[in-house]
Amino acid sequence: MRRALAIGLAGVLFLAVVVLVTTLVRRDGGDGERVRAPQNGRSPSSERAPEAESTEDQDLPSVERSARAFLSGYLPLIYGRDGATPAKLRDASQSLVAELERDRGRVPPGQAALTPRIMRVAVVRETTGRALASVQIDDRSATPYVLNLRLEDTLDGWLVTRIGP
Amino acid sequence: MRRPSWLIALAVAGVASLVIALPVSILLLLAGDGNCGTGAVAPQPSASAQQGIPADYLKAYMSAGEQFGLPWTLLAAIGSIETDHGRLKAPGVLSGTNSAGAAGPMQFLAATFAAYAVDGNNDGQTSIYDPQDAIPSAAKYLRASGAPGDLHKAIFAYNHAEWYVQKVLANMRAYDAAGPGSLQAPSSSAAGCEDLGGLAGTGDGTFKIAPGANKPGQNLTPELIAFVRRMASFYDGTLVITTGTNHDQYSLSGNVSDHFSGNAADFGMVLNGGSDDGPVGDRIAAAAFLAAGLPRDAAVSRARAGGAQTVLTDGLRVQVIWKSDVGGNHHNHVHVGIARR
Repeated sequence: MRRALAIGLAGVLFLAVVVLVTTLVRRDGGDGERVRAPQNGRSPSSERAPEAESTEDQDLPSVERSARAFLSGYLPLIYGRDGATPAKLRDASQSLVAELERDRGRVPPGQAALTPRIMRVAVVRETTGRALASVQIDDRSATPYVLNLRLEDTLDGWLVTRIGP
Repeated sequence: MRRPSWLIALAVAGVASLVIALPVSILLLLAGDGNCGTGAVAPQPSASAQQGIPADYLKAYMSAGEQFGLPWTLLAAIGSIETDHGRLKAPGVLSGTNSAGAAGPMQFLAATFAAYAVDGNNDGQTSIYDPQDAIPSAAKYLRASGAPGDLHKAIFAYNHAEWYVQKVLANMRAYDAAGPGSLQAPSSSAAGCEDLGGLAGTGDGTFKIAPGANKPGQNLTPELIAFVRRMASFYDGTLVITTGTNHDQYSLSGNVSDHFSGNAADFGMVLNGGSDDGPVGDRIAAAAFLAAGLPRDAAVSRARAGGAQTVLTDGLRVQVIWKSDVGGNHHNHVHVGIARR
C-alpha cells in the first residue's frame, strides 16, 4: 500500500511539472508546432525569392495612386483650407463622401494653423479587391501620425471607402 | 482480472494532478503580458512633453488625469491639437468663440461645457477659458464618453473625425516617457490590444549576419541593411540573417533573385531561436511589416496569417514570405526582399 501511495504521489508531481513547464514554455515564445529537421538556420536550396509575387499585388501601384489622389483633397479638408469640401474629393466612394458631408468633425484652430506633409504611403492588399493604405503625416506638431485608408476595387477603379482605424 | 492497487493509485494521482495543474496553466495563459496599449493612468512625461507643454498646463493635465482616472497624456494630446495648450492666437481661445462655436483651451461648445463643467480651482466659478476649469471638465466629459476603457470612442466623441482620433493617440505616445517614440499609435481599446509580444519597439537596431550567409565578395546592399536595421528597431532581440547573397542566381520565373543582387535576407528559425511556423517567425515578419510602414495591428495580423505578401512603401517594393510553400519552403525561415521601384 505504501508503495502504491509513493508511486501515486510521484505521478502527481510528474504530471503537474509537465503541464506547468509546457505552459511556461509556450508563454516564453516556444511553440509546440511541428518542428522539421534542423538546417542550421540555412534556407533550403530550393528556396526562391521574388517570383512569389502575386498577380494581384501588381495592382498595388494603382492603389497607391488612388490613395494619393484622395489625400490631395482630404488633407485640405481636415486642415480647414478654404474651398475644400467632401464633394471635391477624388477617388472616394459615394458612401464615404456622403458620410463626410453629414459629419466631418471640427477643424480645431490649432490644426488650421498647420501645414501637413505626406511622409510615407504604404499599401498592401488585404483580400481580393480590398487594400490598405497606411499614410504617415507630419504637420510639425507634437509628432507625426498615421492615417489608415481602406480601398476597394470598383468599376470606377480603386476608391477609398473608409478612413481608419 | 484484478488490477494492481499501485496502478489504480497512479491513475487517481494523474487525474488529481490534472485537476490541480490545469486551472493554474489556464490562468497563466489568460494573464498575458499586460504591456499593450495606453493602459498606464499616470505615465511619466517624455522630454517632448516637458519641453513642449507649459508647466502650468502640464500640472493641470496631470491633476485632472489623476482626479478622473485617465492618462494625463490624453488631455495633453487634445490640448495640443486644439489650441497648442492655450497658446494659439486665434478667435475663441482666450475670449469669444470661433466659427464652430467652440471656446477656451480645450475648445468646448458652451452647451457641453455647461453639462460637464468642473470648478477645478475652487474659486466658486466655472470658466470655459480657464485651463484650471476647462481641463478637468474635458476629463469629466472624456470619462463619461468611455475613457479610459475605450479611448477611440471617447476621442471620437470629442471630435467626430478618425484623423483626430489617430492624431490624439500618436500625441499620447509622444508625451509618454515609456513610449518608444514609434510612429505606431498605441492600441485605442482593450479589444484592439493584439500583440505578439517582443515588438515593443525598444530594439537598438542591431543584427547579425551568420557566417556563410553571403558569398565571398558579395555583400548585402546598403538599402537592405538599412531596412533590416529598421526591422531590428522593432524587434526585441537580435535578428540573425542566415542567408543573404549565398543563394541561387535565378528565380523560378527566370528573374535574378533579390538574394543574388544583395536585396534579400532570410531569417532562419534555428539561428533565430524559433521553429517552423512558430511565434518567433511571426515576430520577425511583423517587424518587417512595421519597418515597411504598416500599422501595428495590420503588421501583426499579416505576420500571423503568413503567405507571400507585398508592401509598396517609400519607393520600395517590400516582399515578405512566411508560413508558405510559395516560391519554396518558407516555413523554416522568413524571407524579406526589397526592390527599388
